[in-house]
Amino acid sequence: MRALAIVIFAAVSCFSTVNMFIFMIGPESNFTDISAVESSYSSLRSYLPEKGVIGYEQAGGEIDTREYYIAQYALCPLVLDVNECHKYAIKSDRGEISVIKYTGVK
Amino acid sequence: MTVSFVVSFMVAFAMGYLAVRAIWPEDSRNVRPGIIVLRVCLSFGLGMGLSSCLYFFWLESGAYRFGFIPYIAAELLVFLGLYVIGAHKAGKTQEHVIKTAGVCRSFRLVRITVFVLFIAALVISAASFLSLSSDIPHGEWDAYSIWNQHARFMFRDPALWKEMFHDTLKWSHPDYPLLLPASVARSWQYIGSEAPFAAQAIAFFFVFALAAVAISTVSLLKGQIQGMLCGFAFFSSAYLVQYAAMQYADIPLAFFLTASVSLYLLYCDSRDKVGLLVLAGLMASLAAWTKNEGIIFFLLFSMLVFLFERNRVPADKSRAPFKYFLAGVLPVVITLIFFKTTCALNNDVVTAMVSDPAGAVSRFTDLQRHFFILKSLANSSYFGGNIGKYGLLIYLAVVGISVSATQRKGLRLVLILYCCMAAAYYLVFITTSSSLEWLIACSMNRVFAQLLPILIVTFFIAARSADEILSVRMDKENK
Repeated sequence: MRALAIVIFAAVSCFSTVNMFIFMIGPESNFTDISAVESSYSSLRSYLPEKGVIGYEQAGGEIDTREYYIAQYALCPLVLDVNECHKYAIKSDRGEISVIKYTGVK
Repeated sequence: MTVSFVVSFMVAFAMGYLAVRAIWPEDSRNVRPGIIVLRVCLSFGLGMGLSSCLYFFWLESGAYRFGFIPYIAAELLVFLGLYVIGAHKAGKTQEHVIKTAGVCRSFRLVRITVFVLFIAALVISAASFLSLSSDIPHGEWDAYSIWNQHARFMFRDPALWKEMFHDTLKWSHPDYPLLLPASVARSWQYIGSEAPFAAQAIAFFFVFALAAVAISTVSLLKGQIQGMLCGFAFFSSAYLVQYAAMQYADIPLAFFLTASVSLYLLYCDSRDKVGLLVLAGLMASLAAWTKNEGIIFFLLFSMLVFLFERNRVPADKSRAPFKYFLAGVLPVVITLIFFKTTCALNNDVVTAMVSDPAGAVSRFTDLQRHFFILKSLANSSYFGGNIGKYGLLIYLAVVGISVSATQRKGLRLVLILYCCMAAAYYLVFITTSSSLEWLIACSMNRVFAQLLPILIVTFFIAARSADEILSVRMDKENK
């Protein structure tokens, strides 16, 4: 009985591991690669100052947190501020990303 | 690029290996697979920990102005120091070796079946990791918003690394300790570019070293088949491999928690081999250097080790074992205190609790919140994959519980520690000023991932050994 319990335990656990593998390679795994978004932000690096704080805006005013985090990840050591106006800002408008330079702002 | 990464990895590993050798000297009479695997895994974790501390001091001291040479010189110095200490201790190995479960003649067919299934589970888990990790090379949410982002601040411009503590970036938890980001940034520094595979490889080694520490500890204490069963429980728990591929720090944290607990269990079984206690302290302090939750673990673990060891004076030692434990924790704790006092901002959870104690008390007395947390806890079927919680209980009922007197002492500490950790997490959940639903959705599974490996090790040390069961069966058949 106990030996059987050991074999059943091993077999069912192994089955679980296979299930995990199927889940991870399957379409329902729901993970997204950020490489494309990250590199589109990184490509703006040469238009921005080397250091300091710049603004971050999104069309419509609402900030998509995930995209903002990816932008910060792509552009550090620059610091992206969503709250205040800065001389330079990144603007994201439904996938279109641009650099804005405000005049009259220090 | 790959060669540079291998060099960076091997340097850290060699440093860890020399530290392990200096603290827990090798004994030529005690060369067994379980001990070799354990030493290798501890060397990896310790190497990552020590090199990340050095990397932090390289940044903080301003030595980066002279390039990477001062850092390499510091690594070389530590390397030589550990080599000398290790060589000095080599002739003084203690006579006692870790006792292991009696070597039994097991039921051969079952042993072979379990071994084949174990290898299959190991290969499938590695494939799962590689598949998911190649889909998300930058990791998932926490990886790019916290850990790898901090690594980028450190690597891209060391002169500006403190920009990560900017007020605007409070959401990226700049108060989190630096073991993981510093390890990734250090690898990039060796490679010379931000290769995502460095972070992926570190995640891979941490999760499989975690599994190996759990398996080898159970093998050493309860026999090889029992160790493999522990491995099954580990590999069937999807979240561990998944969080590792997502490059979350919960897996390195789980590694250090499990290593501390495993070393203490081995220490209890080894008749006062104090080197194991020093290593347990060192691993606990590295848990604190990995994540803030590790600080809670470190404080609780130190307190319990003190309570359990304060009255025990080993026959051949003039000092109490707890002093050895303290000696182990000191180097990393000094680094952590230095980081927390000079760089890190206040922690958001602690700040919220301190600034609004009345709110925390009112949330604590809200029964609805307690019900919600307990319900979420009960609904999460986590441990045991398809076997499930009830399957595990049935398994335990069938095979029974069997622990030796020395194991009982170790298990008692681990169970108290486990309850205290669970209570501390519960307190954070219940008093948080953030949305409870959000916190549970984000954190509950990760908290499980941190604590699950300890539970797995405890379960398989408490359960009757499969090796024992099969050898009894073999004896009956022989009669």
